Amino acid sequence: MNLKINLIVLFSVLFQFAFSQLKNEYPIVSVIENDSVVIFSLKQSKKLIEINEQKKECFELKSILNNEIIQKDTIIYAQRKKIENLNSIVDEKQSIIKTKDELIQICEDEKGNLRKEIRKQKIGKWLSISGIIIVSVLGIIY
Amino acid sequence: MNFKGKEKLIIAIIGVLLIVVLGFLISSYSTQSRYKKFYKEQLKTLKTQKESAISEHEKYIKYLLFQNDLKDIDIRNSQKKIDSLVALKNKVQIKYILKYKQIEKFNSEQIKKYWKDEFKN
Repeated sequence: MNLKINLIVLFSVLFQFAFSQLKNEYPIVSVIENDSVVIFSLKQSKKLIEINEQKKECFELKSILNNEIIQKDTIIYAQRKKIENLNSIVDEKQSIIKTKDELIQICEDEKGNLRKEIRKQKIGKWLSISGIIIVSVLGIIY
Repeated sequence: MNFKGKEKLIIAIIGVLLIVVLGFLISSYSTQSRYKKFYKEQLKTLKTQKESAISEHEKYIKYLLFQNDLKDIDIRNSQKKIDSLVALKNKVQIKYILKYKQIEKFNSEQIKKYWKDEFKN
């Protein structure tokens, strides 16, 4: 009795193994109307559809990501240019500061000259007044 | 006034000396005034040069700022494009998630049709 049960279990295991082997025999190559064809199971076919669709998805995403990279490169380039321009602006402002300092120096020189001239003119004015007074006094005396 | 010969000579010498001194003074005054005029003109020229240099620098700064404004526009446009691409990416992902769900439910006819369509293209 025990032996019979053991044999039944063994056969059922063998049957299951054989069935599972049979299940996985696809894809198979067969000749139909002189055409060699590869036959897939429905499950495998679905799997292939999925793989095909994944490939399509990857291509679409790749194209989108490439465009994104191009746009990001554009932004990076623009930002770099902006930094270059801002550095140039800093240089230009420093040049302006330097030139304005020189201009201030020139104006200071001009101011000093004008002051000297004013002093001279004042001295000249007082000398003329004194001369006129002296000449007038001498004229009155003699 | 009667001047004798010696006095006349002294007066003449003094007169000549006075003329020489006066001439020297006049020439030195004229040189000085010419120098002053030249110096003033030089200062004026320098001032004009410096002012024009400053104005050139300011113009260039304005140009650079304008360039930066243009770059800002470029950046904004690229940012908008990136936003739309991100949205598109999400749409594509959603589209494919739905497709995968549909594929799971495919029957034999649909599978056949799918592959026929695929190989038609």
